[in-house]
Amino acid sequence: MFEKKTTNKHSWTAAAVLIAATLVFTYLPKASADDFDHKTIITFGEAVQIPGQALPAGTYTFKTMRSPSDNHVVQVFDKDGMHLYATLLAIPVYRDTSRYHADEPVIKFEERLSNEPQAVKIWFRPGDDVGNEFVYSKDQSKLLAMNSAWAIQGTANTEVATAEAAPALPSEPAVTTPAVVDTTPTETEPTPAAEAPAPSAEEMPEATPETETPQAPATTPDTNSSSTPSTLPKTGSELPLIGLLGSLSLALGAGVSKLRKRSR
Amino acid sequence: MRAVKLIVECLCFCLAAVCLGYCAWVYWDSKVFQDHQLEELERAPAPGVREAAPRLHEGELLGEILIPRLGVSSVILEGTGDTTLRRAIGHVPGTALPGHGGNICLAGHRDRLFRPLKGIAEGDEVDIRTPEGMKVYRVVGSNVVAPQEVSVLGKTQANTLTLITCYPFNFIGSAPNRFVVRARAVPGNGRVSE
Repeated sequence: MFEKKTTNKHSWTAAAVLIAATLVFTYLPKASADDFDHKTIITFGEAVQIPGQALPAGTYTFKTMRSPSDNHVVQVFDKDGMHLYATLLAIPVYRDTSRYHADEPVIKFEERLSNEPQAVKIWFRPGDDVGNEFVYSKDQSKLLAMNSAWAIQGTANTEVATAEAAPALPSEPAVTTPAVVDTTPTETEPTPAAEAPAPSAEEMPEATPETETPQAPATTPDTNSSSTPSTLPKTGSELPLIGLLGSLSLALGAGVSKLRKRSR
Repeated sequence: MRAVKLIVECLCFCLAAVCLGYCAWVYWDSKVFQDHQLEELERAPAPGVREAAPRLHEGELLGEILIPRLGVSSVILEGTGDTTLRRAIGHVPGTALPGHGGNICLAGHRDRLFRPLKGIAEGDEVDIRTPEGMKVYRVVGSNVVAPQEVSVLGKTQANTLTLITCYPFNFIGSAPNRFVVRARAVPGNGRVSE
């Protein structure tokens, strides 16, 4: 009797361990993929700024870089995720959960002059309380103000505006961790943003966030970006330094020559 | 002691000769090269059919830049390598080509060809001459930016000319900033494709 009870107890323990292991191995890859690869596709109806450059109207993919140590490196790609526009270091910022649902993607814009494109200030991924705040240099603002060629139909009098989408649809759990790069990620289209807390229409530029849970990280590098330099050209030669050195040597040589002649 | 002085004297004069000789050679080489390239530009026929994005090689002749008020006149070569910038104004690869529409970015040394840019003012005329014709730009502003501020190279909808040189102008050595001049195409001058 006692032996039978012990055997039953062992069986239940083994079954519980097996179920727990199955659950862990089933859901762990999904959590990992969501943490690192979740990205937001945004359609801008007019030109916008991101740190370092202005983007013309169009559809872009905002994605956090796959880095376990720092999750606030954001990459901005084109719609297909093939062309990398920028890699940005963002500051963590917290979402006001009393106003927004944490499972909604949010894009906030910063106020700009009327002749400048709107600046993308904050991006929250769906499901995250902590978002990414972008930092702009004063130089960029000055330059954009200086040349309205960048300022393509900028919207005036815009306070911090918010564009939101409906909650992301839950994705199917990934059973296996994909090891091969898949360049055709599966998109989950969001439902219209009618039920989301809408900001006033006049302060919201046309921006349509969509959410996407790819099956695998899209790590294809941008081959065209190599043609554009990462820094401005080095336009200061060493010629003045060489000229100065030559002049000083000439003066020193003349001085020593004079001293030598005097001491004769 | 006198022997030491003699050695020091000789070393100083030798160093001075090498340094000043190098400076003179750079000026002479640039002058001869520019004259030769300008002759080639004069002889170059206007292309009948223009490629949208032709393949260019470092140092290839693209045109000439003139800023009449400041007395700037130089040929424009493809690329921003050391040799290219030592001899002429360089076209930043990846930006619009002279004679085409978009944002044409040109870079030059602040201690030589682009030194007069320190006196540039809003409204100054900048002419770009290519085998396809002349295009006139008008300066709309200037700014000092960090070398990492590559947004100045970004595409623009309007036909824009961006001139880049180092800043401060009187800095000896590798300057920490860049001086950027923006000019806009004057409508009706020359032929620039949109």
